[in-house]
Amino acid sequence: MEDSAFNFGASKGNFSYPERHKYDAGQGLGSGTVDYISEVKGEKEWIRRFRHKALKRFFGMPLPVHWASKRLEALDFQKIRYYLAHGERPGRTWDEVPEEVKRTFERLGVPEQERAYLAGVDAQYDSETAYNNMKDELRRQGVIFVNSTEGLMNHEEIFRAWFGRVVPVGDNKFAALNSAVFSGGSFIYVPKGVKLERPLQAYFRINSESFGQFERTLIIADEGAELMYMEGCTAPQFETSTLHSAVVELVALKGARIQYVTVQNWAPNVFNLVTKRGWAHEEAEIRWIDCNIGSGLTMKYPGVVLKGRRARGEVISIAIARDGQHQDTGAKMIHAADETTSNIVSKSISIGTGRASYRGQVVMPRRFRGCRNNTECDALLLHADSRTDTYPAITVKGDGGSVQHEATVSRLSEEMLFYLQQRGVSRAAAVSLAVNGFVNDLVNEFPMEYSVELRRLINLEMEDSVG
Amino acid sequence: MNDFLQCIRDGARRVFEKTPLPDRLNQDWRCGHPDVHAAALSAALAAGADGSLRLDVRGAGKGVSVRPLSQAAPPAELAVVRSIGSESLLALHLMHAGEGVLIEIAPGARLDEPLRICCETDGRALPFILVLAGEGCRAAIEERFAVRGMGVIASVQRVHIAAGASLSCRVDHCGADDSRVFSIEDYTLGAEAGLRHLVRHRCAFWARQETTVELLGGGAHAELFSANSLSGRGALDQRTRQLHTVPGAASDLLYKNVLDGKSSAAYAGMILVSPGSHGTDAYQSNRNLMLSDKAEINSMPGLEILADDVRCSHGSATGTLDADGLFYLMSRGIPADRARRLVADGFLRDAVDRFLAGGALGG
Repeated sequence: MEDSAFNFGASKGNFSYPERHKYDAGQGLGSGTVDYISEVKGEKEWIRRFRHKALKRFFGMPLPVHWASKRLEALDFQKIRYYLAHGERPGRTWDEVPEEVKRTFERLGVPEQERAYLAGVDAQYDSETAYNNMKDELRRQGVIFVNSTEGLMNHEEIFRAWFGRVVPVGDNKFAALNSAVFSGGSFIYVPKGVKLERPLQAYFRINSESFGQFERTLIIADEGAELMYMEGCTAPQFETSTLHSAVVELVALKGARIQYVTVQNWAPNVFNLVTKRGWAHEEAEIRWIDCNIGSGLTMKYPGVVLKGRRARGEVISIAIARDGQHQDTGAKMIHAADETTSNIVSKSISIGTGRASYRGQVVMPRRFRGCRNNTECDALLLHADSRTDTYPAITVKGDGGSVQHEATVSRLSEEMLFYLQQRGVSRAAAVSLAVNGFVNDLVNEFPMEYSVELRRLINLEMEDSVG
Repeated sequence: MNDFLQCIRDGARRVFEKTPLPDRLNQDWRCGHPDVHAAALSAALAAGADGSLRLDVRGAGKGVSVRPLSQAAPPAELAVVRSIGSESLLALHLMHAGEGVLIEIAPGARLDEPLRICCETDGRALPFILVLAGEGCRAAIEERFAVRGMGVIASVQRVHIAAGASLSCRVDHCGADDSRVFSIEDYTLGAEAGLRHLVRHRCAFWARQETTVELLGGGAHAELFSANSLSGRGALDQRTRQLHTVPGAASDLLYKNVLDGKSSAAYAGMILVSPGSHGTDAYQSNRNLMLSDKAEINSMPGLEILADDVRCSHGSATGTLDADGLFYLMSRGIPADRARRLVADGFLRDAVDRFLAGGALGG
């Protein structure tokens, strides 16, 4: 099978290289860990204070097991390593990247994708960015695409004002943890009126065992700007738990448009606990296009706060839960201005003992007029012991909006499978066809290069699940 | 006091001792302000009934036995009552169990007219109503719970509908501006049994209803309706569970609210399909019409599906009056206020009509 950054075949990401880290914060979490990270990065005092404040909040907050999966209790925060880095500055060319890191991304096909169709790439290896580059033309237009450390150090005047505002430190326990120990991720600024024709891409790679990756992404699209950002991620499979806890903040100023595409394919030992939220100002649009395939437990509810008149938010999500996996995903839409609209389409497939949950929140506060939300959740169950849940929460105050939510659960139709088999299609191929048909309209929302790989990946996931 | 009541009270005391009151972490009280309402209710329940309950059962004819709880020995089918997140409040209620009746409808009985149960209070009343609808019987029950002044009525109902029986149940809760209503209803259905259920709430300061329906036998089917017109500063909190524990049962729920003034409503429902309950057909729908800028609705429908050969779906929709429709009515000479009322009544009508469509006696 050809190499590609999004060709996450079952074993595609399952390899690792020996660790040769120059910086290692060691196991466990305390104020010393925070100081170590801050010192290694040479951060300003306000960032260190921000980290310490967040750490205090993290320790003060309980695990949200009263509503979330009890599996969270298996996380031992003192057994995780919070910072591992080579110490080199991110390379601007692949030749500057350490050999085994380069080999990793080559095996994942990242440089090839970059040449083929991307406007820029940020490749993160454990805690730090190993490679970051974008087309010169974008640099000339004033686009900034750097990692979090560089963003806060060299472009403080742009990023500080929004950093930690969309997702405040105390938003939830894992956002607090990320705020305390964040490292890596992308900070992007697209100036007024600049429309990126090609996507920017980030690739997150975990190589080390018992590691926690805490990247932080902040994207600001100035008035009338447009961009598409794509992220992919893999990790080798280890015996011990790995934690991935990111915070992503998007700011779409007046008339701006941000599309954020994620294909998550972590190894089954990864806890993927991510906070993603965007602010859409007047007439701006934020779309989250999200596909969750990997990890043992994913908790991810991308949200949009619609802050300006006629802002629009959208979440399109596909989740595939295989044996032992729990994909707890959903969406949040907060309508905080007149005539705001939002759309949520979620499709999940549960295979074997897999469990897919949709958890959503739609809020329409008082005063605002002409707000509309539409939510559709469809679940497909492939086996008798598969599980699906739907937990929406809709709050409407006042008479200024309308909300509609529909959820359905179905299985593969035996009649349809029989029909296909009778026409000479094997049962496995028939199941695959049916599953592809179920998610087809959503897969089409992904950029073309992704959707081809996604289809292939869904087929792969199905391969040994028909019986 | 008979053994049955003593046994219930002892069991309840044990539960109460180890169960905390609902708090903000209790997901079954989400958006229900447990810190205010559960606390106030527990204080009232702890004080016990004050003897102000007037309980009347009419229409009991041939094939129906009605006995006060103090003289009854209820059958094993009714031994367990379930709440939805209010175990400690239910236990507090049962610790004072004493007021109430056991109604037994004989197997095969066909009731010509509905059984009417009326509970009224202006103080603190804790009625406990047990109903056993025998195999193959056909009956209708109309219940009215009325509370006046600053009264509190906390009712617990346990109903078992035996195989092949059909029961239609209409429950009206009539509150006053300063009264509180708390109602726990637990229904179980045997094979091929049918339940049609309509509950309506009128203007209490606070009302919470927890309705559990468990389908224990294949072919059992339940239809659950609610239609409420809320105004003033009333708060209504409804929780439902449709439990499918066996293959081949069906349930359908439609809960509707019209909210005016400063009223608020919460609806949280769950369809639970246990492993192996194939052939389940379950639906749940919550519809709300907002008439005022001060009203508030929290809608939380839910599904937990652990079997694959099922048809399950839910929907929730909240909207406001259609301006064109209103304009049409006004252009025909109907004043704005009446036009709004007409549209609101029409909105609630289909839930009531669908309940009535099956005939008052379970047609």
